[in-house]
Amino acid sequence: MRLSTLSALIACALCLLPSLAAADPLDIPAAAPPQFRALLRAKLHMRPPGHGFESRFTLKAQHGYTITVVGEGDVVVVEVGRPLSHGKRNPLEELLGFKQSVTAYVARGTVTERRIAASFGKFGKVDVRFRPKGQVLESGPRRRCRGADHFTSRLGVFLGGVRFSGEGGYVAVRSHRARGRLRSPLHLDCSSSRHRFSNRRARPVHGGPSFVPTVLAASRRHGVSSLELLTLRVGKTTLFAAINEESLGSMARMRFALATAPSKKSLVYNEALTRATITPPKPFHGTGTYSAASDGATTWTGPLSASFPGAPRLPLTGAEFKATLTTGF
Amino acid sequence: MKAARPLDLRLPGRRQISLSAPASASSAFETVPDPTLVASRVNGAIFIETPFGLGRCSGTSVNAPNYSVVFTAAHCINTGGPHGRWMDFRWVFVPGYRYGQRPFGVFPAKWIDTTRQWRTTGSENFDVGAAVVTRNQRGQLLAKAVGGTGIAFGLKARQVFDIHGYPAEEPFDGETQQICTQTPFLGHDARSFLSPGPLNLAVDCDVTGGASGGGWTISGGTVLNSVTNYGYGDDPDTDFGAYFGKEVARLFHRAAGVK
Repeated sequence: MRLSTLSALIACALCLLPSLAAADPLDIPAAAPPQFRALLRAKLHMRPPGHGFESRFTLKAQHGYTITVVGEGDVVVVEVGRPLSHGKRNPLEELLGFKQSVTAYVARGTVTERRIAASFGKFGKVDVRFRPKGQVLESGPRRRCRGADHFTSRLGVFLGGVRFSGEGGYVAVRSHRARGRLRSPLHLDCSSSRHRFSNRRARPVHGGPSFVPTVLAASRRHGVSSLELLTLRVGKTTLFAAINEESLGSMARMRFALATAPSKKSLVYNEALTRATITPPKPFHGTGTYSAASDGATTWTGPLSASFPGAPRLPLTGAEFKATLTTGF
Repeated sequence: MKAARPLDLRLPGRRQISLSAPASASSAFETVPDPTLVASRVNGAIFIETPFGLGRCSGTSVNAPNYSVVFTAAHCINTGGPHGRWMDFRWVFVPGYRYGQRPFGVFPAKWIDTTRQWRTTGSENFDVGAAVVTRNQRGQLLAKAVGGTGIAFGLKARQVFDIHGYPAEEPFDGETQQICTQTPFLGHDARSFLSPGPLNLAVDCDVTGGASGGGWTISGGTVLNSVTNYGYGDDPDTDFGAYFGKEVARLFHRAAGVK
């Protein structure tokens, strides 16, 4: 499947998620990898958040995990994931940095062109200084840009201290040196469209069949913690996304999982929209069943779960979830 | 005025503050028996005539040298972001409002403003606005007619708040002043970490549309320290408000300086 289609799927998904639906555009998780954010911003016609830079470096940890530290604005993110092997890569995984699921720890900190520093409480601390070393890379220029038309990446090493240990020690790293880069600007403001319509002239509208995806959404939220599942069926492909957010005092933890599967088996629902079953692939496990009674009451049950770094088999069903099933006519 | 709809439900891009089921008793708004009493009349309903109809929010009279400052949510003033639109239509504050009555008259705005970051980025972390109002028909200045709260900036987030407002969506009707008393700080919205600026605040209170801009007071209702910004449809029991930091202090000083 082409990346553009997938990114459109994700964008649709975020538009349709109950709590994200009307959320401010800035709500796209900064914890998500830049390419994921950039795609969403482009698809949702968001204005890039201005000039700036992003610093990042990656460390290898045990059990196949990588820990990526990203500094942007005054936000420092420690992102934990397990990269997929090259053979399994597909465009969807690219949206999550070639990982099926990631757990991101987000804190406010100091981010300058020379330094990344933030405290993650009981999880650890990052305090490193950037020393440029090696090449300065420039990406190929993009067309139809406002402002910068390419990225400049300055390679170098981050020296100092990184100490991080996930919940229960599922991942731990301690390092004093890592190779990384500083990239600017934060985002390019370039149009991907070949055609620009003038607002000065009327233009014909070609009617056609409506494009209404089937959406099964379930979410639970209490206070400063939430768990959302989205199932989005567009044609022969179904997208599954789970987002878990929790505020932990002076930091936040965000978990993301994404998968796609052929629609035929992974999402089955009846014509009356009173019953649906989903069976998503990894990193999800099990099945979830949606039922709607004649009085409008709904249930969302089954052994469905998702595995995130540090949270294996997090249940995605239960009485506390509010579920909806919608589709076109 | 009874036909007014919560403004926050009319603006594109806003999170809806709506209820799908009655909230639990622990976080329920309670009706203020007499909103004209000294402690309650600083709170009021805001009505805004827009091309899309009459919108509404909540606000608080704040003590200032010009006796005319109202604090509310920024999205009741400007839609936010670089392409934000000003609510520079007829914008009025009605302190102590109840059942269509205006016990202290109507105070139309003559000046409105928001935090700079709300106008430039639309970040929820800066969703605070202020208005300077003219005299009512009796010729009274706002704070001389109803008084005003103090306002505090830069305090620690962990406070116990009284949440005031005029929620207009079900199960409320916007005709009575409501209060959630002594609600402690719960934490920060996880998404607040992703935007620049001070982290916003969460409390247990079942707000609905129309309560936006309602004051969060501390010290027995005498000091304003946040305003209602938003909630999530799948958790009606939690109310989110902006932290009052340096940028809100700047906004206050700008408003207080308006003649």
